[in-house]
Amino acid sequence: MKVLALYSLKGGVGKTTAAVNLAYLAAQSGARTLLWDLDPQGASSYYLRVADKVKGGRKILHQTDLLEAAIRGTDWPLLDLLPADLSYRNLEIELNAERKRNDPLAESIRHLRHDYDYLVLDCPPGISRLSESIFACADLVLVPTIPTVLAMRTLKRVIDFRKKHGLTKSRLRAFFSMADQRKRMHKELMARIDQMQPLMFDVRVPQLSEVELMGEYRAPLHTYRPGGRAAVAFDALWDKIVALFYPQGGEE
Amino acid sequence: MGSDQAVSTDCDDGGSMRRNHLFFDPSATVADIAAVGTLLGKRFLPLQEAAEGVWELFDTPDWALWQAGMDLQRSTVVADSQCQLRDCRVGLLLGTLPTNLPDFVWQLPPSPLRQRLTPVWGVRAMLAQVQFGEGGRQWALRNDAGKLLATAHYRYFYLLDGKMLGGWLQIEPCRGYHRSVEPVLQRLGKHKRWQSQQGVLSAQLLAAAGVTPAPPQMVSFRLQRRMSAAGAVQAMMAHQITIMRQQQVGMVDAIDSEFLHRYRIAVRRIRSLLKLAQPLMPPELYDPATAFFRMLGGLTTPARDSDVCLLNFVTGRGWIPAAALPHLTLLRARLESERNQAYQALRQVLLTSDYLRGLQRLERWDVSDDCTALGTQHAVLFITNAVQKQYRRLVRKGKRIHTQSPDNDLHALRKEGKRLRYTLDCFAGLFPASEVQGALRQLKQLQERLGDFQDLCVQEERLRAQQASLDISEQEVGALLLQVADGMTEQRQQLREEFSSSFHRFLKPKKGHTLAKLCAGKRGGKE
Ligand SMILES: Nc1ncnc2c1ncn2[C@@H]1O[C@H](COP(=O)(O)OP(=O)(O)OP(=O)(O)O)[C@@H](O)[C@H]1O
Ligand SMILES: [Mg+2]
Repeated sequence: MKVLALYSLKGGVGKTTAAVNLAYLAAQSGARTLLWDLDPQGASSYYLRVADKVKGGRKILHQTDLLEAAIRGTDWPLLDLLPADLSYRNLEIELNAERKRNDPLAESIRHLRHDYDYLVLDCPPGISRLSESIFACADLVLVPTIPTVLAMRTLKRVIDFRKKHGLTKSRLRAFFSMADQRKRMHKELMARIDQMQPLMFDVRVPQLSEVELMGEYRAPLHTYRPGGRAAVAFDALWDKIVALFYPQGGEE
Repeated sequence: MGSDQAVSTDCDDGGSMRRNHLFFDPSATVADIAAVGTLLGKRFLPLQEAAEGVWELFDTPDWALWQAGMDLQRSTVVADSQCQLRDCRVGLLLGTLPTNLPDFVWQLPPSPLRQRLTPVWGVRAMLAQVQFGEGGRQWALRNDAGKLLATAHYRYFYLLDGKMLGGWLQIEPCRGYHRSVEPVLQRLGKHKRWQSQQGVLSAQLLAAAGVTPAPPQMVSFRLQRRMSAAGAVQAMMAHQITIMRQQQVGMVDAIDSEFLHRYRIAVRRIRSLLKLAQPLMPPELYDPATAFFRMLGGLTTPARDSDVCLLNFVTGRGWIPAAALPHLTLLRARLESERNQAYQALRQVLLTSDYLRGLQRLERWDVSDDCTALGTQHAVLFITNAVQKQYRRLVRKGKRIHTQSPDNDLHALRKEGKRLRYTLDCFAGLFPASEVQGALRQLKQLQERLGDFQDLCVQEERLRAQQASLDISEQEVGALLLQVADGMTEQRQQLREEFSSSFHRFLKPKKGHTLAKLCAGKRGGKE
């Protein structure tokens, strides 16, 4: 199982949007996929029409039977969801209580590893004990980044944080999210993408109202606007991720 | 593999795994079907209007997927539908194939699905093994938020000749929503014409259509101890010809390397049977038959070599340096075009009347009035003698192999072993089963060692030939080929050096002297 975490220090940058659409594309590619909504806001769960309530709350991190029972099938084949729960807001306490070695999040992920080919984590914003756990157990941490100077600085801080805590086992990649070609700063920053290799995937998810419509349709972008500019950008992003996970021919 | 675990953990939680089928017998009327529609209409929203289509189950010619616990289905009811890979025991969806028509697995992009399929599928082709006509409708049960809780497929199936196979009402709750679907199921279960039943659609369907997913059956055939020597040999040759005929269709269409492989085994068996039968046959029959089957052996060799290279191409990637991977596509294309040419040459011969006559001549050999005096001898006596002679020859040649022996000596030894093996295989019925089996096992180990050596020779020769035929612009590929070929030379030398000790183990296996005992026995007088 490959673990992909959508993460950023900043809120509202498109983590949830990317998590839902990438998980959908993973399932469409024929892989068994689980999307874990770790954000107590429950946006991913909302998009997939699943109630953001989990029986047992954060106890699921310690009891595998609760964990399995919490999983919900979505409307799309091969795509399952572990919904959010309000109790996740105290996940920090949960994780802090344990020593690093038996991280309950890592344990839960290990328990699911044979049931799914991909696990997509939709993380809440911020840097915390949870982020440390995520950096430790994800195969790829993907950071949606709005092309602004401020956002680039925040990205830099994430990189430094990872280094400082020695959490460099997972790979870190970023991509431009909510990009607006009409804005001068966006344009200039994106033009310098060559200097940001290999950190930055060469993918720009445009700022478009069709993306916002996800909240209205409560469905992945591809189901109501396939072939649209945003959908195409997510296709490209997914291809890049697969290429990273499975370098040509190296999978045997 | 992952799929196994997924199945066992999912099974107990009653989640996505629990499938619910309501069955009705083929005599159910349209009114019954309509009644269910109405019943469902109360709780279910139509997801798809009535649809007709053809439903196909794909597998390799020898049902490799099914044997590995999977089935691959495609329905034409849903336009542009993907192939669905399911666990054939419980019906769990394991994955969907992005390709519309199943093709060689290596054409799939790298993905977990490909990883799961590669060991099963190899480079073998997929056939639509069974086709069913299908009709049906689909409903969706949703909650207030519009979330899908379950789908209900009402499907009926018929064979394409019109025979009705039965109808299924399959309620498939989404994982985690089983409880909310329970009341609906209970209500439906009370309907008198319906029976709730847990089962897997494809297994039920195959049974209804009378298809058994199993590797192609070998034609069963029994030797009688009373037969004359010529009678037994002739019957065995005719049997091998039947096997050849069974493989021909698959070879003409180049469906799967397995067909050619089996065909060649049959040809080789006939050749060794002919050799055995020489003293029993009139020369006017023996000479042309020997020439004919030698020709067939040679004719099929290039095609088989190409198949072997392609098969190893997929499984043997480990030894190819990562930097060279991009060149593989080019190599693969070359190998494939070689294979196509080889099969084309083969096809041209298989479809001629000369070919048919060649087979028939041997098939119609009438032993009762056209065999030598020796041919009227008892089969058991004759075969025992032959086996003893072959074993002695094998031992003599094997003892002579040393660390510097030329390749040809090892090939010759392999052929001796093969002859003995074929004789034992073919005429196993004439000996006590326990003894033959032990002897065959012992021989097989030796043959595998020699077979590895042979495979290395074939592949190495092929690689060197390809290297020699490359343009100057393809030097990089050439260097890679040489590198791989050199590795093979080394492996071969190692096998050669280890040979005498392994041959010693072969002669004196720990558990009894099975082969030696079998060949030394005075079985001839026992009858
Ligand atoms: N490419 C886009 N174009 C237009 N709107 C977008 C785009 N991506 C995201 N949005 C909108 O921006 C808002 C925030 O996006 P999203 O929820 O994906 O971000 P987030 O990083 O998960 O936020 P949070 O930190 O609150 O979890 C949503 O209303 C979403 O519809
Ligand atoms: Mg979010």
